[in-house]
Amino acid sequence: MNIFFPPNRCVMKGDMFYVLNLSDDASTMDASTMATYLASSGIPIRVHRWGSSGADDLWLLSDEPGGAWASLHHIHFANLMSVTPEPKILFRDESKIVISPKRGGLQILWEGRRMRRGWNVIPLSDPRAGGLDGVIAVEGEEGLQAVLAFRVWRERNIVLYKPWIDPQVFSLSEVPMNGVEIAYSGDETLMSVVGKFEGSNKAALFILSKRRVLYQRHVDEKGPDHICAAFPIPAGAWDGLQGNGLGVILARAGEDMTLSFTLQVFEGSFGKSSRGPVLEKTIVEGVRGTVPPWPNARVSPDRRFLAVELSHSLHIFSLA
Amino acid sequence: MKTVLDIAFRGEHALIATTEGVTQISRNGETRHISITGIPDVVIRDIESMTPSRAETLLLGFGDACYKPKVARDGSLLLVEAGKVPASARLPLRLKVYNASVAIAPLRPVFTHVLRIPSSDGPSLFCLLFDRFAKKPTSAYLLFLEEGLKDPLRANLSVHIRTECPPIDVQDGIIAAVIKGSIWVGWAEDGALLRLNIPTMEHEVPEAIGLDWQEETLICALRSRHGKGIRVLRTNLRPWLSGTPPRDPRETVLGEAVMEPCLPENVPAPDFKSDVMPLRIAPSGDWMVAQASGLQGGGFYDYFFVVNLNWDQS
Repeated sequence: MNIFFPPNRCVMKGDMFYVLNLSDDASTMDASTMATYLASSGIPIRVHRWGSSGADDLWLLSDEPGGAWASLHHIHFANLMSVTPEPKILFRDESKIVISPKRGGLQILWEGRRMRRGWNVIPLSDPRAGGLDGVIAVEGEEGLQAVLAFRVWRERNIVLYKPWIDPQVFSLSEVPMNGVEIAYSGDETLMSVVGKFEGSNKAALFILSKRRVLYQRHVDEKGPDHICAAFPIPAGAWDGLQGNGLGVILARAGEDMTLSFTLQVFEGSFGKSSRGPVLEKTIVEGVRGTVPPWPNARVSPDRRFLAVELSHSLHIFSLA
Repeated sequence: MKTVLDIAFRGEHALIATTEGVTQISRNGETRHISITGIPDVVIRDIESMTPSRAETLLLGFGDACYKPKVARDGSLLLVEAGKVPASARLPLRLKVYNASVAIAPLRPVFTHVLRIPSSDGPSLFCLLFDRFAKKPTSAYLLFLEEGLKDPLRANLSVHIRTECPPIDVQDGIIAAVIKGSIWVGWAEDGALLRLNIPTMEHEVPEAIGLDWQEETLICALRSRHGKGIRVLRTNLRPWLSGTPPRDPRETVLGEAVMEPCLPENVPAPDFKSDVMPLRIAPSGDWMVAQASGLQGGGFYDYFFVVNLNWDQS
């Protein structure tokens, strides 16, 4: 299931939406307070907005066959969840994401302008890269900076859209939408990616505009540890960390069939990717359950919570 | 068992449309009947006024023509032509439903059930599209439509719902429905429904619901799948609509009705534990229509009757 963190909530989207109100007092968060919603189905779109508190802005692209019903819905919360149609997603530089029924999908209007076809169209189905599974739109200081389209065919692909250049396809065989996190550091946008790529279970930190790897952490797949989530940490946002950093959540299966989760924080700087963690701490031990091969997990954009879906149960842990 | 299309309440009377005709049943048990042939492709539960008391009527659309049951001066029941099927009820079909019908039933007809409320801010039409009338939950699309917009579709939910006399109610901007064996509520303009974890026994399924939003309550009739009878509960919706499900849902139950069935004359009494299906609860909340069917003395019986709901004890 896809995990989202709109303001003060954790939302899991499968066939239905499961919504939990986040609270500093973990004892108030349990299964009985999780709300289940039924709403229009659709492909999730996560928007990261510059200058916001970091919470996800959540949208849906309805996915009726043929795209004839395609519409954009904005998800927000008052007391209850509300899913209401809106014609476009607007960004600070007048960039827009709109429905393009003719082209069977979404169209990005960089700075509000129509461009050469192909540069800015995200079709629902793409014979080369697979069906659309999710979209992440990243706003930077200057406006809409990048759009990532998650596609699934034989393997997972991420198609990266940036202004004025052709979309680039990255074949990342096991990087789901949950595996990508965004954070802002000064005027730079940090992106972390977690999943299985380049042949191993990895987490990596990038500066989005430069596509340079700041830090990579990988684990031996035969070992007991599994990287299930990662998140970028902007400089100054974490005690003991000077520059930008990468947070990594390791899940370890014990012999007693329980799991423990550990946080490791690494400093990210070019060319020093072999350094050990600047911080390591156990988040929780003795969690009953087994880790599916690719657990669905995310750390909230405010870095306060870890949400993990283990075989049919959702766990929320405090990182603080 | 008669296939029930829908039931409309009007004061002390209920109109029950089935695939065999329309029956008017009065609260005192008096019935009238008119036969029809053919299954309408559109059934409209038209709520003409919400206040002070709700007045509903049924419209049955066969092709373009629309018929409305009416009581004549001599007291007999007539089916009168009521012009064409209202454009608003045709709206989803004309618009885009073709795609949905392909998805639901490639080669079969699509039936539409419409719940229409007096014009309001937000959706005023709630359409169910399905390929067969059934008493068991059946796959359907539930559309929320707002009239007068270029694109009237506010929400499109894929649901499993009883398509015979669909358990859907709308009152004061709140919509409630029984979907996948659970009760769901929400603000119609939110386009999303929240599941209520009301305290039911494991063998109980909600069959009929009614909203009384001014009291912020929902009445639901629960039927046991294990032949243990029917219960009608009144629950407080406020805790759910505040956004957090109540920790102890038992605290939201305001009362349980004492059921006083009012059987027609000369019919065998049904086994209330297993042979009665609650169909719809009147908007006033103090009576409902149920269907009794079963075997007795080698014969089969199948009739509708009124159940008065007495809340005094609760």
